[in-house]
Amino acid sequence: MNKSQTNIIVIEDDERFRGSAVLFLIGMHYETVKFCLTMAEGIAFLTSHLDEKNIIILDYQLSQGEMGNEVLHVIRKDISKLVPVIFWTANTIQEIAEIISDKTYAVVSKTESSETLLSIIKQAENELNHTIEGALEEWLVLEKGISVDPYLIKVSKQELTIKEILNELRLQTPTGQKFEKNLLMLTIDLLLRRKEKLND
Amino acid sequence: MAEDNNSEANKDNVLYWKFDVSTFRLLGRELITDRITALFELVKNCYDANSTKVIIEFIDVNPISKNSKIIIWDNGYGMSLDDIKNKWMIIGTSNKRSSRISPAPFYRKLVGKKGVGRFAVDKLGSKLLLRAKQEGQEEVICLELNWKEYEDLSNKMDLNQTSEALFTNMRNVFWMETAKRKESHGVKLEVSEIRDFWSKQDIERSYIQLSKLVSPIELNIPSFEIIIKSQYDNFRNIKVKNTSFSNASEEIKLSFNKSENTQEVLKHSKGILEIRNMPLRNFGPIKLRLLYFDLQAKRLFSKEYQGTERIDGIKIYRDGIITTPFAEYAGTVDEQRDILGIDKRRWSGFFDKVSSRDIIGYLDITDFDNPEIIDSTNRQDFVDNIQYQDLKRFIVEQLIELEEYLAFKKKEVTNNTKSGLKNVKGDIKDFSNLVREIKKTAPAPFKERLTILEKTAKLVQIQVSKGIKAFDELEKEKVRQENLFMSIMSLQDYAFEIAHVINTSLSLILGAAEFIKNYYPNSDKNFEDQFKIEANRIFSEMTKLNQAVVFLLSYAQSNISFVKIDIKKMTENLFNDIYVEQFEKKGISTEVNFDKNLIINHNEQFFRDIFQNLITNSIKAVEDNEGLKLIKCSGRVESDKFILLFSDNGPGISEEDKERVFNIYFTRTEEKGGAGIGLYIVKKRIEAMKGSVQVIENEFKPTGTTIQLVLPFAD
Amino acid sequence: MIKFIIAYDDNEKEDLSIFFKTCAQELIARLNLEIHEFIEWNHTNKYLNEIYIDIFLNNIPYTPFVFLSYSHGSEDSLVGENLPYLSVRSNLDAFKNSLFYTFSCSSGKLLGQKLLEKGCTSFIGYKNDIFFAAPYLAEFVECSNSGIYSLLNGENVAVALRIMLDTHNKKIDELYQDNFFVASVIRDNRDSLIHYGNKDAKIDDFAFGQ
Repeated sequence: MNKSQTNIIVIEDDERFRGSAVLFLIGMHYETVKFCLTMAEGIAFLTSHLDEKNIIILDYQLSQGEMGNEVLHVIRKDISKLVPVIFWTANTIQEIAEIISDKTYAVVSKTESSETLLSIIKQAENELNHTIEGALEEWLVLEKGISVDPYLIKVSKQELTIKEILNELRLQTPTGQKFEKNLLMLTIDLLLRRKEKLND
Repeated sequence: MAEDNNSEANKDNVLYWKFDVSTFRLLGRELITDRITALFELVKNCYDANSTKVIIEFIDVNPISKNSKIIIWDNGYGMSLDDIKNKWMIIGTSNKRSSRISPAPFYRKLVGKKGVGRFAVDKLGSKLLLRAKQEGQEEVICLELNWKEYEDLSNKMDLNQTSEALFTNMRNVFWMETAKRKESHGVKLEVSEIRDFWSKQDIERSYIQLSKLVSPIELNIPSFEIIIKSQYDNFRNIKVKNTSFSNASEEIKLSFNKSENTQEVLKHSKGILEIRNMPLRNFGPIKLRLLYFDLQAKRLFSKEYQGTERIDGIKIYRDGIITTPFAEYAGTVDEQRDILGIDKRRWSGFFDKVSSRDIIGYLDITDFDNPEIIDSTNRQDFVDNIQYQDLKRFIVEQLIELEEYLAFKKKEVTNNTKSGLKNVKGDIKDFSNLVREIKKTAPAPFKERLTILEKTAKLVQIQVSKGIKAFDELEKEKVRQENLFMSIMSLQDYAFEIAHVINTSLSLILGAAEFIKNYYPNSDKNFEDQFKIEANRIFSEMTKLNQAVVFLLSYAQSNISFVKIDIKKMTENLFNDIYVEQFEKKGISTEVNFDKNLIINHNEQFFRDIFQNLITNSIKAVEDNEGLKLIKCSGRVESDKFILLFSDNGPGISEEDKERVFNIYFTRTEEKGGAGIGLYIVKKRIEAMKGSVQVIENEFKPTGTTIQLVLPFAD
Repeated sequence: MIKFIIAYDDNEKEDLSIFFKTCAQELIARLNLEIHEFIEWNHTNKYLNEIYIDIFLNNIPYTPFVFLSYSHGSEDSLVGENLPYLSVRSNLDAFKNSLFYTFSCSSGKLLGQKLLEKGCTSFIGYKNDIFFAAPYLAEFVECSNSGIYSLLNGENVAVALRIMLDTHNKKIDELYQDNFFVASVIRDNRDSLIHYGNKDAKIDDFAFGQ
């Protein structure tokens, strides 16, 4: 079968899970399943593959006092709000749900069937492909290779390279959100001026 | 520097201190933080002036208006114009400096010391009319002070910076009035421009606090009455009484003997609370009266006093007058400050500890005998010097003895109940037998009745048995709970640990089983390899899980007993007796080395687990050594901790594994049949003792492992 | 005879200078064709500064006139090299009866209003921040100048505005399939266009000497 190119990044400090059945199963559907023992490793991989599609599976209790929700916080604050993060935990889901404050895609118990985790990953992937932000991000990544910088200049002195635009989008800053909104507005505008039609 | 024209001492080149108008704010409002403290200070002044009666009158205080007033009247010896001019109007001094005792006929030990009580008035209202008269004088001296003027000027000051508005330049009007009777004496403070309204509750609180002004213990105070008048029912004209409580379940009185230099202290011994004599402590001799209220006594108490009185801990009285602070009444008693720290202790194990909700205490000190117990300036606490800390410690010591006594009594009751129940069982049996006997010879109509009696007795017997059984269960349950709480592992940590360990193993096992179930058979090479891996995993995880569960459940046993453990002895026993055969068989040399010993109080098996796991691990590490095989255990004492080193000269632990080696899943000796949770157990056990464990630089070179255990001494 | 004042920021340190300059120069080329008089305030000849402009406005020898600016801006000013050269604090009376046409961000908000208070006939500008995409210089220039060309063709302000909107739409439609991102930016700019004042005004209304 054709494996998806979306990277599955697993941040989990318990060695026993490397090469476990559940990850084997995921590996049947995804080309790259990256097992990271520490927060640093996971974040390094994400940062260097940011222009690809990624989904993160995050253990709640890591060693050396790191906690999953800290990792999530770092990702959301400094890297991207658009990457889906799935908490994977041996604790009760209730506890974890109360502690998470940043956007999370789902919280899955480790004692759930492997098929469950796999199907949630697939759901997340699907949604990744179908959001405005996702579409815009993808387009910008492509454009990055081709165009010159700076790309956009605000006529009150702000210049943005594509990379910077991507960053604004990923961190969902007001400017980033404005670009998303522009996209929507364009769509509506084209529809209203009958340049485009909705598919029946 | 000195000029030429200053060659002689020139009286003109001298500077004087002046006080800015805002000084009054400093002295008054900021030192005395609430209204009730203010009232207290003023009433203390009355006491010091030999008053036998003080009347506090609240006029029109709710709602407040131009007519609102608070009047404090006393019949003390009053003041002369000279007194007012040269003592009352002089800031910061206590005009009681020369003598610590009031004049004849009372010779009271003076209680208002800091000399700023007069500024307490400012807390109540911004205008004061003072009238003072001494016995034998024809005239009453009247003085008017308007703090508001000071305030206005002070505010203006902030803007204009003129040098005029000095506190000492303020003009305060005084005049004389003819007295009605020459023999009258005393001081009347009439406070108006009241700052805040006084609700009925406020008056009630004042009453309650003032009632604590005078210690019920000190009996030799000549009469000192405090009367409160106000617009409220129950407080129209009422004399303040310090209630003497008589229905406590335990009452203790401790005193001292000056000539022998001894202080009475409590000592619990086998169910009896004895009073022993010990040498005086550094804070000086004290008297303590403690009243303890158990549940029943508490019920009677609240029934009798219906909210007007509370069981609220220990209060300190100096020279018969209260000194411990009281907050301006915060909504609930809970917010009154527990400066003695009684309730704080509860968090370190709250079974059987006494709180300030269980006792009323009166601790008497005197200025003469306990000079080092000093009020802090804001009157909300004491200066935290060595003597005060020691006094607090002393109080806690007495409470501990009381607690032990109460625990003992409780146990006695339990035992008595148990044996009581058992007796009842016996009694019922006797009763049944008797009934049976009578039945044999009873006439027919009685026989029926007696049969019913027999049946009833039987039922009662069954119930009593159930009761005994339930009682036993409860006891076991209580012990189990206490064990859990008793600084082993907090319940939360425990639950967390169980969830994590078990869930993780379970998830791996489930994952493995699910995989095999869904995908077996599959001839793909990758799959075949994975099936093998998963089968192994099921086995190893089950083993680990089993060990982990046994370990975790060890904390749930009901018979965890703590004994005194001699570490040196235990170690020697393990090395020289229990494991000696294994050592010899495998050619392992050992060394045990303690410069000092440590005796600790803990569960013997738990502690042994630590050593056994360390030894097992080290044996596995060295048994394949080609040359020497060494295992060494040494211990030393440092100032506040005990350090144990456990070393072997095996292959050692790599840098990256040093932390992970204590994780439950970690194992490098799987091939040798280790499920790997040995060091995990070591870590958990030692942490439950508030100690720590880590891998440090190896003693043996070139390769080896040294594990360091640290046990801090309890404080 | 209509007098034009064209202010543009051609400071080469500016990334946008190429854009401003192109806009200005295309317009100038057109004006030359029609023999209109104009003066240039630009960075190179150092006229783009507040002091010079203030003095000029206080002594302006002719009114009304047509004023165009291609530079950075803010809500209350036009800006060059980070300093305002024309703002609500300048002598805006000089703009009485004139036409004010600008491509700078946000000046619609305060500057435009103030100009109108002072008697300016018509103001065309932008009420929000506008973006311009470097790889699509020509399209943006065309959008920005479409209005003034239409006025030069004799249309009134109302029609000129209509034509500006249409030009923006045309560019959106041309671009969106290849680059929807830039098309969405042009759409955003289009909706930020704002006009104050007299919609019937025509270019001849601003002839000097009226």
